Amino acid sequence: MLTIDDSKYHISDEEEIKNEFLVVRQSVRDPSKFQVLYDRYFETIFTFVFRRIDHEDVTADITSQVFYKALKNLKKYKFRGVPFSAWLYRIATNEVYLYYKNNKRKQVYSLEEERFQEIIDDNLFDDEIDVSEVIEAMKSLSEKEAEILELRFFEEKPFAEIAYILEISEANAKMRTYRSLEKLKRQLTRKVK
Amino acid sequence: MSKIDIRLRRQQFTKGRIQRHKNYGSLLEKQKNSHRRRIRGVVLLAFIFVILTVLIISLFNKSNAKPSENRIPGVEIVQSEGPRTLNN
Repeated sequence: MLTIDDSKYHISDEEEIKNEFLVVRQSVRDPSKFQVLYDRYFETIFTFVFRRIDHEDVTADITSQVFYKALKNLKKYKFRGVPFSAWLYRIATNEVYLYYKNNKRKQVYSLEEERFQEIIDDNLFDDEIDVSEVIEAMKSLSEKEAEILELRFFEEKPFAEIAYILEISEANAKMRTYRSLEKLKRQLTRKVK
Repeated sequence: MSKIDIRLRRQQFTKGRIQRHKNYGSLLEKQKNSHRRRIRGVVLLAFIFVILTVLIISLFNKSNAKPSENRIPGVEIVQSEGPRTLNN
C-alpha cells in the first residue's frame, strides 16, 4: 500500500516560494513581469486542465482564462507558504468545475497510460494489478475522490498544496486521500474475488 | 452507472504542441482592456456620485430657504415717499 507521507513528493524550497511572491508583487504594478510565472507554469496548468477536459481547444481556452484571472486578481494573492502554482491550480480547478456545470457533462479524467502504469508499479497495490482493472475500480469513485487522487499521484502534490488547492485543511487532505485510496483498494479486491 | 469517465491515452502532449497555445501578448492585451474598462466604470460612477450629491445639496438648500418677510397675508407693505402737503 502506498505510504501517505510527503517525503517522496517535491516540496518547493522556501527561497523559491518567496522569490515567486516577489515577482507577484512586482507584477501588480507592472503586469509584464508576470510573464516569468506564465512561462514557468503554462505547460503544467495546460497538462492538468487537459487531463480533466480531454479536448485541446477547450483546454487552451480554460488555461488562458486561468492566467487571465490570476493576472486580474494578483492584488488578492496572499502569501501562504505554498508555491504560486498552487494558486493557479486552485483557479484551474474552479474553472474546470464551471465548465462542467455549464455544459452538464460527466467529468472526464484522461490519464496518460505510461504514467498510470508507473504509478501502479510504484507499489501502489499489494498484488499485481492490470491498468484496466484499476480504471474499472476508479469509475466507482466520486469526482472529489478522483480529484484528490489525481492531485496526489499524477500531479505529485504534497498535502500542504492539495489542502491549499482544494481549500481544506492539511489533515483533511490526508484523510480524504487515504479514504479514497482505501475505497479504490476495496473495489479492486471485490473485483479480483 | 459510473460517476466519472476515465480514459486512457497513449500519447503525451509534446512541448511544441502546448507552446502553440501560449500567447502572453494577447493575455496582457486582454488584461489591459479589462483594466481600462474598470477605470472607465469607476470614473463614471464617481461622476454620477458627484452629480447626485450636487442635486441633493441644492434640493436641501431650497427646502431650507428663508420664508417671506410678509407676515400679513394679502397686505403689501409699500415704502412711504414722505409726508404729503395740502398745497397742491
